[in-house]
Amino acid sequence: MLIDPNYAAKHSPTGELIQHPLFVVQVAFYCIENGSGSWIRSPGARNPGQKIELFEPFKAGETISMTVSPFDKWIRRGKHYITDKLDFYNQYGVHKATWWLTLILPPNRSAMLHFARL
Amino acid sequence: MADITFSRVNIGDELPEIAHVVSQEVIDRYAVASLDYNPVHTNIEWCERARVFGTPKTVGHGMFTMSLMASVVLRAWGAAAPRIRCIEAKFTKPVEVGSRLRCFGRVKELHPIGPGRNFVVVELQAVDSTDAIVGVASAQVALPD
Repeated sequence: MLIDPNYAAKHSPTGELIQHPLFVVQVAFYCIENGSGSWIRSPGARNPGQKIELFEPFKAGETISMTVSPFDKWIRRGKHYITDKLDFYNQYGVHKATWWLTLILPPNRSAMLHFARL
Repeated sequence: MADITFSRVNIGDELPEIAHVVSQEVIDRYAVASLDYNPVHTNIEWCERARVFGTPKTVGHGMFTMSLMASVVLRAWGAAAPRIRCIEAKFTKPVEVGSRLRCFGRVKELHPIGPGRNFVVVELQAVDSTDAIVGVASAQVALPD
């Protein structure tokens, strides 16, 4: 039901493919590749945990847009955290999902450059 | 179990375990699928130099672990009826290439809000080959009445 349109047509309650709950990941990386940058691709960044809220499933044929907003940043036990809020909308402006994307970043520019130059 | 309903679920219900070996091929395939080509996952030589997590090995994507934890719900209850409406995960240990991940879940809370709005909270956990916890998650899962 996640990948086979013919199977989904027979067995899915909507008759359509069903979105895997983490499909927002693919959408986010695609959007970032084609739009403004973010910290998400930073070499040396670490993933401490993520929160994803899904309001309405994506549907095949929709055009999804994503906005990225700085949400929070903090230092805890010497680690530098940052959270961006990623919001996903379809072509009609329907809010489909929000991903609070948190990363632990290298602590400063030189540390970031260190990883980038390796 | 395509006919899962809220009334059939009880606190403490355990969802069957799923397992996956995180080989470099699996990591590379996930990188292609997710478009996340961070060298900490895909570049073996870079990892030997950078040791971002202290290990010279590549590590699996955290989102792969999270995805596998979500799949515990989908495999147990089917992809159609339940709807994960929120999932929050913490990653407690990097998953080194070659690890065998095991993920399992347990129903922690029932929320009988009303017809069409009922949901459960499932606690999910991922452990590596040494049984160390590498990730924990909490998923709100809306279920048919």
